[in-house]
Amino acid sequence: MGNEKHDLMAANLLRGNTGILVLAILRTGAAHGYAIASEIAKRSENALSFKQGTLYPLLHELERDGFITSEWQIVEGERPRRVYTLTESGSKELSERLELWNSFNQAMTQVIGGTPDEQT
Amino acid sequence: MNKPNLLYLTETKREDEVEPNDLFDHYLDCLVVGWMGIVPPEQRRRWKEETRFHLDRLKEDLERSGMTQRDAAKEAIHQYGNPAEMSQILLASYFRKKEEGKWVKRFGYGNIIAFSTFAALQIVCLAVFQLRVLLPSESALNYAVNPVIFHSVFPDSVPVPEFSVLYSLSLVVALISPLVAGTMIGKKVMTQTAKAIINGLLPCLLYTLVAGLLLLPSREVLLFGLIQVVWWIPSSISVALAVAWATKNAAIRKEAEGIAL
Repeated sequence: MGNEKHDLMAANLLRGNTGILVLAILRTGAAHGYAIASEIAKRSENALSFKQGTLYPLLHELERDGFITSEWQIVEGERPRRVYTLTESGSKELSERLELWNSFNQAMTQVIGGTPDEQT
Repeated sequence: MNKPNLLYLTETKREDEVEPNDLFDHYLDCLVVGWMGIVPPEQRRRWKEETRFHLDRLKEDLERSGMTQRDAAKEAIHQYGNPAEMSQILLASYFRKKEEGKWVKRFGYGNIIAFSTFAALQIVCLAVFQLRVLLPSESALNYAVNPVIFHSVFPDSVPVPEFSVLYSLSLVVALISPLVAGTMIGKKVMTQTAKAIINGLLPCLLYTLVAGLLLLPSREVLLFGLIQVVWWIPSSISVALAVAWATKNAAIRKEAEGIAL
């Protein structure tokens, strides 16, 4: 598959699911935007890529919806950073989204049929 | 003279003279310029600081992987995203409310504002046309000139201009409506204003043209459609852009006065 087509398909699959990635990462601990982006790249082994600037509108919307909170953290000798923390309602939202994701994933696998090895 | 780098460099410096900080400063300037007069200063400062921190960290990691300072800065900007695009995306998220109606979520705030404004004015215009059709006609004094004299100069197929109150009112309403719409939309939709107007007016225009074709041989609705294409589109866009520009400038001046005090 050509690189461009692959990138477009990957971007379409990622769109709408980045929220669940952010909430899942914040579940393990508070983090700033760059740490979240790095963690997504690390855990996915660079399979999930996106323009990193697009993370911040998502973070602001999640904060507006009450799923995360943020505060400035001052570290001596460094620039201030905005650190995001998962809230209780964010944790509930994550559980609901994960349940939905798992059902979707299972349904897709059943329709496509077989194990990943048999599919190729 | 060295060819200027198209990626956010000022044209006054050669490429090898540009420091990574200059690149980041220029990037942030491009990011912020679209928010002036729309987003409050505290919010702008927050977005700017977060972006700067992110770019610095990304650059450090890229340098650790072996890139030079300048290349790492350019790559960091590339990975972060085009500043014009990122600026618009942040603005769009700023306007998204927590409790948004399903239509706003689906079609966008600006498009919904524009469409509802034009639809309301279109209903008013068509109501006035309809009133003119339904009310009993006035006397022969309706005509601006004597039809016999008029047709001695113009062919019979050309309609004699009317002078009735309702005809004048329908023309005035059709001509003033886009100015009113432009003013209302310009105050509420300060980004991508022209796009919102085109998106909002298009369904109204399609409705008018289809209705006009169905009502032939009566040509008035088609004439209204023509007025919408030739007058409504350019005038509403011009007025809306002027009002949005004036509103933003007033907000910037107010902000500057607040800082000076």
